[in-house]
Amino acid sequence: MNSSPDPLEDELATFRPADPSPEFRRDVADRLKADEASLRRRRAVVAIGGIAAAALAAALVARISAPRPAPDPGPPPFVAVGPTSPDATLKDDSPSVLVYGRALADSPEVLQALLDRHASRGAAFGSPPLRAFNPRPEFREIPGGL
Amino acid sequence: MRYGRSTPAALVLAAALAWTWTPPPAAAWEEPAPNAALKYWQAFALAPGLNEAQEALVTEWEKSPLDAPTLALAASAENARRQLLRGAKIRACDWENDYEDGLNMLLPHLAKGLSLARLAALHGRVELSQGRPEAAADDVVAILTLARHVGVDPIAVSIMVRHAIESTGVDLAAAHLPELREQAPRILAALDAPPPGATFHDAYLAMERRSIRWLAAQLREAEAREPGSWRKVWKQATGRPDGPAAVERVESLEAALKLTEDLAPLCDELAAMAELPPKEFDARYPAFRQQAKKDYPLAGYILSGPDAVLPVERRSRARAAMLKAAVAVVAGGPARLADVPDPFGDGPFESVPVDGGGFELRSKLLDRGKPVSLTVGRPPR
Repeated sequence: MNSSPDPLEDELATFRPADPSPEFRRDVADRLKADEASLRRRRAVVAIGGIAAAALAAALVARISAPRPAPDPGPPPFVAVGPTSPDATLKDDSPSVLVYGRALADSPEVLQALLDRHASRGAAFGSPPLRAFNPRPEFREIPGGL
Repeated sequence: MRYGRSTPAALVLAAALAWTWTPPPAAAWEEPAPNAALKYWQAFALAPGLNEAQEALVTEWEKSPLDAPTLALAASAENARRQLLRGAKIRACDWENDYEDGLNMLLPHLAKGLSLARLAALHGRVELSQGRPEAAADDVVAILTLARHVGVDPIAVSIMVRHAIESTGVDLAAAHLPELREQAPRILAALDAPPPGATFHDAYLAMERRSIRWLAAQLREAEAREPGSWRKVWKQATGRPDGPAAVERVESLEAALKLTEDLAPLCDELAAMAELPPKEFDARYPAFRQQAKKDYPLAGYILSGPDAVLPVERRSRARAAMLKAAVAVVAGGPARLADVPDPFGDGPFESVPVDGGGFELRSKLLDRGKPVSLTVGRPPR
């Protein structure tokens, strides 16, 4: 190591960084400010995008997992009122206009007896005929049909 | 216009919200319009199943002993009775009949209504025996209202059953009128309450005409489906052992259709006949019937004979008037008999005392040669 003073070194030791110029300072400050705003915008976009994505995901989950209403079955299939089923109507005593009308054509009492039978249908035993219209036997003489 | 960088995200968010939003249902549930028939059907469903002995109790409701089995039966009918009473408080009644089924239309409510009315009448007697005339009057009012509701449809059989049910209510009220004296005003109000119900005039113009159209359509449809199969339909409609030759020997679809469709104007004539005053009807009907049998051989198969249905309607009318007269007499004495004249006579009803108390009112209206009557204030023993 050289212990004698070196003028160059002495001169270098006295050097100090020059103060930045006002233009330089403004330039640096502007750039820093711009970078900060840009960063904030980027963060906001990311946040909103994240929220939107989360909302979309939540909506998807909700829509998929929500109970779906039963599909509209639409109108019932058209069933034509069939041609009369002759055997069915003739052989049974269903409570139809035709069957009751025939009973009435015989006499009101025959109709009454048929109604009584229908009223007791489903019970364990039959029902004796009732005479709600007229209890007197002579009423049977009334002709029922035209 | 400038958009920020966040605009697309906001649009996505808005779209997501719009996609997931569903409008609330316009009307999730609307209270249905009241319909008495639905209450009556609940009553039918809740009515107790009857064994042979119980059926006899209901059938003979006027005379059944009010002993333990009857009390138990009346108690078991409470739920059905509750629905009956609820139905009777509703004005509208729609039995939802399938009119498009024509002559094959089913009327299951008729027999059930008749049975329910008798059950209610038995229940009314039980209430009276236990000192509850208000409850018994509830039964009477419900029976009379059920009758009108059953007869709301312009169908001859429905009208017949209406009168049968009404007869049950009138008999119950008349037999116990002294006990029901305080309740009489509301019983009479039920007798006349609207809607009045269909008449046989209505039935001829509605259901009977409809049956003719239905049968003609069935004949044509059968033939279109399979030539010759109209005969099967014809046999079904006219299957009767002692039918006239003009009907039994029909050999062509055209002849069958003519016999059927010729009945349409007869319905109008029958409707007009049904509206005649009784005396005029009685004077004109025999000749009309004779001519109709000759001109319309199919009529007896399809159309209701007015000589079968009109006596029932007249009898019901006379007995309703007699109940009103009886109420007047029970309230104000025999002098009040003149308050309600006999609709089939020129003055008041005849009043005759009966053994064991009470009295019998008699109308000038004859039913097979005997006056139509109503026994008042003497419960059958």
